[in-house]
Amino acid sequence: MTAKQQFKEGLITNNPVLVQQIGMCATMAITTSMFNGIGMGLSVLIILTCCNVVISAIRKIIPNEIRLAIFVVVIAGFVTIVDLVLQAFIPALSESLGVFIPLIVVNCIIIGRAEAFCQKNPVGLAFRDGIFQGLGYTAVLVIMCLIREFLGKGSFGGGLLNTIDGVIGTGNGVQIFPSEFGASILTLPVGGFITLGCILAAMNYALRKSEEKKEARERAEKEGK
Amino acid sequence: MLTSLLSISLGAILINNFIFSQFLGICPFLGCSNKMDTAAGMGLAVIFVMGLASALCWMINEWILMPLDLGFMQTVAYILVIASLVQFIEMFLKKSVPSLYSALGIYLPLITTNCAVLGVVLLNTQNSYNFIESVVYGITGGIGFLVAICLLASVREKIEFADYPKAFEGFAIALVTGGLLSLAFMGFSGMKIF
Amino acid sequence: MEKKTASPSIMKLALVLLAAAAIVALVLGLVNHVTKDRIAQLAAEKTATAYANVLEAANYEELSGYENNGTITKLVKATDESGAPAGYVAETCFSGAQGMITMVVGVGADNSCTGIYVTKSSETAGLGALASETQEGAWRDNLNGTTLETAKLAKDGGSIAAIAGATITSRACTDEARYVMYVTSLLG
Repeated sequence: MTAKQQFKEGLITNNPVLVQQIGMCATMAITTSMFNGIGMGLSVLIILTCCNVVISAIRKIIPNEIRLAIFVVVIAGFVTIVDLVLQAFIPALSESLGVFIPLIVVNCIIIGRAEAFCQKNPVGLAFRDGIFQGLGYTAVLVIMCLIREFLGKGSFGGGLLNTIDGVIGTGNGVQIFPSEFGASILTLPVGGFITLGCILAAMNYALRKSEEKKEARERAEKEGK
Repeated sequence: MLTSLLSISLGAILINNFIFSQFLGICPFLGCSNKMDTAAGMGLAVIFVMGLASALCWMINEWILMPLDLGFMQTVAYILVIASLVQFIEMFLKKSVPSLYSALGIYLPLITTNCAVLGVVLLNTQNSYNFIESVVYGITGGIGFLVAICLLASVREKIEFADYPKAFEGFAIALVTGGLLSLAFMGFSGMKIF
Repeated sequence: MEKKTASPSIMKLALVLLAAAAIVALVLGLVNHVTKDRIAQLAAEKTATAYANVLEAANYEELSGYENNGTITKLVKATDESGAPAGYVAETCFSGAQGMITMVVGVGADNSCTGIYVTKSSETAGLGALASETQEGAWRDNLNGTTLETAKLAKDGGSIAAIAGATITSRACTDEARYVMYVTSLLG
């Protein structure tokens, strides 16, 4: 499997949230500001890649009966490391993500990839898979943040742009239009559900259309012969 | 004491519902809500696991992790407890109540990765609840999950015969429905008991 | 046909799992050792910032044996350089709309509120979370200068306007500030 194929899979055709439809808890809960979205996305990317590499490296020596338990222990280890590092060096992110950082342990994406991919593939492929699936996840988070922040509050880049005294994680970003005109319902839990639902529907539609085009092309080729 | 337990319970079921307000437990919420029976079965199993896990994890935190200053091992310890608990429940059900075991099928091991179970245990620690408060929060959190998943299942059974854009098939329409249910539950926020 | 390799015994499985957990525990212990000082330092800095923000004083002296309904975690008496009393600062932890709120309250020498500073909360973003904002003109400024009688929400008979859509959070913070003033009034 080439890097390009894996890249396309991770971001589009096998996107963890939009196609595999796993790992949705955090996607809806924390996408209220760009800072949260990018922070969470990168954290998951790092944890996913590290876990992929370790699990792929030890895949031949772990007994089959307890492999899920070992996966869970490894993942919990890396999540705790990232949690402690964030608490010490980016406390703003640790506070705004709250309980969702330790919850990355049960994020179906990581266990899912470990079970489906790393068990049967060497370290190099597992490493790339981690990075690309992580990028796919981050992309979805960023899109969710963009929609919810812009339509909900009229701002962009909350926590990253236009910060208070240059401290990252503060401030409400660049205000594009006054927040009174935004649909503030999108910043509430309801908004998370509905935005993700619509993005999923859009992805379904796009994938189906490209399938139909491919089939039409193949049929035309067959008839042309 | 009783008022604090009452406010924790109402909080977990209505005001800060685990699914509609806190987004914990979405994967099984969407995956197991096609039919009412699977939804109810999953909900009941989750109540049981959440209650037991709250009790066990509180004990482990209070008697082992805190005295030994191993606070950073909380995540690892909790998830191991939950995974083992689910494993034991599975073995126990297989031997003594095989009908329930076959009814739950593959949903039982899925409870291990249910964000709500690990979530409630972490929240218990974060809010410094004592033993009884933790167990009550665990059980009522599970009841909130049951309420949410049964509500969604009942709507989804009707949606099957409704006319909606094909692109929304599957999880997308379930998410939008869940969003509307969450909007309804917002009406409970602001409820104060005493 | 007999199986070539027998499946490993329970003992061996348990040992492997224990070994994995032990390795993870060691690595985590190392990371914890490296980061815990910094985490503690950040927490201390945050409290110090909160104190200075609500009531600037030269010395803070912890008190004990005061009336407490369980929400005050620490009460300190503030004095200026000459030792004259400047008021009190209380660290509180009470329940908000979505979990516990940790807040520092400053009370001046005339028993009026000098300000509040929310150090930790998990309130709804855009609603209750606005109570944590600390910039010029944020909601918390409404409580500056209020007294035991006036520190109430308009809905409860006072003069403080609640945050739109976040009545519970507003009420919780206001009531807690009022409670602190009540406790300090008892101390004289």
